[in-house]
Amino acid sequence: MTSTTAASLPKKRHTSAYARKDMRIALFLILPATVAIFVVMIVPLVYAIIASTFHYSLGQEDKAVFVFFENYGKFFADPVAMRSLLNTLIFTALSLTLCMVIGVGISVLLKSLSTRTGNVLRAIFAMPLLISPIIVSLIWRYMYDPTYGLVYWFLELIGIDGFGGLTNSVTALICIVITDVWHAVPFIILVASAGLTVIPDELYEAARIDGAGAMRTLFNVTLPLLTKTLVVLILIRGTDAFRIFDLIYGLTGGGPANSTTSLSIYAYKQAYENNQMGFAMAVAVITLLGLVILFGPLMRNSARGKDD
Amino acid sequence: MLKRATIGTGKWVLLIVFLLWTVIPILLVITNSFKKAKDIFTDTPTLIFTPTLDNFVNVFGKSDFAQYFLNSTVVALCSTLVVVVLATFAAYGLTSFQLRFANTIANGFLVGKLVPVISMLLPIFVIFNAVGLRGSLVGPIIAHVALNLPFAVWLLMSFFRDIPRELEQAALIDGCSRMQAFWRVLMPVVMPGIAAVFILAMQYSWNELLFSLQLTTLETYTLPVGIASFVGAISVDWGLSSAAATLTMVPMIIIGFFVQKYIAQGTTGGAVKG
Amino acid sequence: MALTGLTACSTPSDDGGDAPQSDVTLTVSRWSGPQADAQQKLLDEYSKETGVKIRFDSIDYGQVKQKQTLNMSTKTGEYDLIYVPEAWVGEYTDAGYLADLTDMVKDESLTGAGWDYADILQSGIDVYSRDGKLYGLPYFVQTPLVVYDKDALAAAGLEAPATWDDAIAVAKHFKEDGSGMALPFRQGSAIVNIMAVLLAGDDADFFDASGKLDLTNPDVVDTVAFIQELSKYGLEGSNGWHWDEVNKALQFGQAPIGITSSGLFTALENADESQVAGKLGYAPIPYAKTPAGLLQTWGWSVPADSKNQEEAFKLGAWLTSKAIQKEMGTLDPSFISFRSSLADDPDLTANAPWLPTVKAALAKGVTVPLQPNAPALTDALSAGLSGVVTNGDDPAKMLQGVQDALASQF
Repeated sequence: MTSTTAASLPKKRHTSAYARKDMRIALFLILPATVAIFVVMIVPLVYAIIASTFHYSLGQEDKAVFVFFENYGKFFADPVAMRSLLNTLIFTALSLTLCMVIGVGISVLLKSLSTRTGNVLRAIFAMPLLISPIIVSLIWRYMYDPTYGLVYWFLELIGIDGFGGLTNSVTALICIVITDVWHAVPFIILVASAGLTVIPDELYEAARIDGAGAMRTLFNVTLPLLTKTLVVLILIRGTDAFRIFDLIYGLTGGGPANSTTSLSIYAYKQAYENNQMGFAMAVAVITLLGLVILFGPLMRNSARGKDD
Repeated sequence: MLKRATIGTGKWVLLIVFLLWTVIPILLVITNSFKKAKDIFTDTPTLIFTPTLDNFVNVFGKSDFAQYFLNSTVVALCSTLVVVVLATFAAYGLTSFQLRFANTIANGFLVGKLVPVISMLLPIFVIFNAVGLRGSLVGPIIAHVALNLPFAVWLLMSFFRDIPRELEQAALIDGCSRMQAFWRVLMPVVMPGIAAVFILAMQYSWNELLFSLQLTTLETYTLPVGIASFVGAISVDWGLSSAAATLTMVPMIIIGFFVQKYIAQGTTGGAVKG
Repeated sequence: MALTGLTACSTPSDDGGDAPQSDVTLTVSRWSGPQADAQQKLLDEYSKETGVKIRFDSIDYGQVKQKQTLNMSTKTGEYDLIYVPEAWVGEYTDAGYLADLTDMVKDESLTGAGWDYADILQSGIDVYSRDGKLYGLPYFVQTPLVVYDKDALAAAGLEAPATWDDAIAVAKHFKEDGSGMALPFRQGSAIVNIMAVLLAGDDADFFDASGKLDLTNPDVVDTVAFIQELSKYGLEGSNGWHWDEVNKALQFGQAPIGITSSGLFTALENADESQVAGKLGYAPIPYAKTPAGLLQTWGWSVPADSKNQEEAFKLGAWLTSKAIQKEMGTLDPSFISFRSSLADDPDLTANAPWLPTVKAALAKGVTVPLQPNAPALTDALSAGLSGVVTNGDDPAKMLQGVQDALASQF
């Protein structure tokens, strides 16, 4: 491929009137979005960073005590906090991997079908994402119940007895991963399907003529060309998984024995149950830092725009 | 030949298994909405039961469901349209103009997305209250726009970057202005991305609970608030919440079906030969 | 303008011009559910009587505290009357959110004649008072109790458990028989509530006489050991259940015995919905020394930023008046008030067979710890207890861990 893409041209210095007009158009295009994000997200972020250096309860800001970085130290000294960090990392790794593998796999399979069938199936596959998270956690809590649940009925059918489910420290997190994958895979499918439209059919034709099988085509043709989409997907899904809250809160509330407490659940409890708003803000900032550390490298690569 | 056949059936087995796994929980919600409580809590899942419409009747009787539906429609439609427009413009601006600060802004957007929601609630409540937006539908609309913009911009940026430069150049050489080139040539090409952003942003706004509840008052509550209200302090009304969920799901599923064909239509095929 | 004056003048049977007018609109905040539905009827009645318009903001329980706090801390004036449990009173009064009602309860023009302040149980008044001032009107109380299928126990030759040993014996019998005792042993507030009642029943406490945290006391260790033993005979899934799931297990006949909260009992005796209506017996939670109960209370408070404080108080007083509390108990049998005159009311007891047991249990009613630092304690205990029942952690070690971590805060 000898075409050049927008990101691969060298940056020019703009001096002409045309270039200045260009610049104005660019600013006009970018400004509204920037303002919205700044007001709704950046301002609270600054507020959170400042608030994290205090010790106070919601509503009692006038009694706040400045404690510098004590809240951060407190986090790393608390075994429950460390557990929540570990749980969050494990959860993110598992959920992200499963989502990507299943999501991309299904998208590729769908593309190989006729358009009508593909569209119908894709629309059906999109459904879990369209359901409110409250209902997702309610229905899966119901399904995981040993007495009434479908999951247990199904396991009994295939002969598995004594599944720990949501009441076992080890299996509880896995159960939540499964629910999260169920809910989030449609996101991957939708975006990957859109991304797959970029790949010209000629390439598949060429591969077929070359005698490549399904797997080789997948790895040598499809995935490389899908890279930009995949990176964006990993960024978005990964950061969402890291911040998961509603699902865990609805399914287990953090238990049993803190085995499913994530960073967000831990922060929520500190803020609204233990009335330690400053500490909760510190946890929130730590979460943000964790995200930047984990996903930052991906962000930098993506922005630079790799050439074909 | 045999290899092709086994790949063919293997593919269909996977698809059918995935189909079942996707659909069964949803069917569960729908059937629960037609059941009385005693049929929901049985030892073995029952397919045979006497259906009842009580739950649906009660959903409208015990809450302002019709009002919630109207509010949700306004909020979801407005916020989604704004997101699609702003994100498409921003993505175009950030990728096609070789701006030096493009990377900084793009990264800033993503950092914005990473801001934990827990730290957003109070400042936004205070700001919106101060400007008189508390209790108005505009509050959740703005909040949803901001919450959806980061992923939308990043997604569309990746689509814009995939467009061969020659496409835009050709249009400019033909005498189009920047914006004309944008509308006539680039937009159709990124349409799958726009369609994906449309349905994703819409479902997020339609199902969002926290800001929709805290920034509004009784008259401006949305559907998720209604669904959540069937979850009491110590008990869940399964029939009612399932019925409310079913009613809430339907519009999104219908829109999903319509948007599908835009997501998967190939558009660059043949436009430019590399 | 006296409330009694208004009702004396208006004649509800006339329409149009004679109906009471008021330009006051009150906004009430509480959590949604069957109790809220019943209350809606009462509020409609009040609106008709007084002309006051009421916006009833009953929302998802998980969001109520946030919304109340956001509005009160920003002083938006959105709410006029809010529903407050014993757990939030300390926080709200520390932050100065609530209006002082001490003088208003003595004003007959606001409470209405015959309101009878002395009729309200002192335990309720204590919960909603701080520094000698009253900040809320006690309205609703619930406590966990043992609920059992009388036939199932009789068939097994067992009696309702009274002591800890009784409880183990009964639960073990049913577990070996295939079911077990339904227990709300999820990591959450329920299991800590049960621990509090067990301690009270053993004349013990989380704290020693001087108020210091005392979890390694042998009484406390024994209590947790009992919880661990009992959990072995819990119905499958109990370790992940909250009150709701236990109630469903009882309601649909899967559990012959269980511990659930009195606020949920209506469903159990509802002939349309329940498989065991009319067959159930109620007993206090097993006790080592005396029967005890948990004071889980809800009351009405007036936010300090409300623009209609007197009107809001009038509504609150109306709701907590004897007649209206009785009406509420009739609409929703699970509804138990703080009015001692209603405790033995035959009309109410006819629909609520558990009332005598509740009264007996609440004779020694305790609250969960309510100090400012208490939430951290209940959080750590709920996680620790969850480990004890699901992972078989050692009770003494668990308690020592929590003691070491939190002793300095009390």
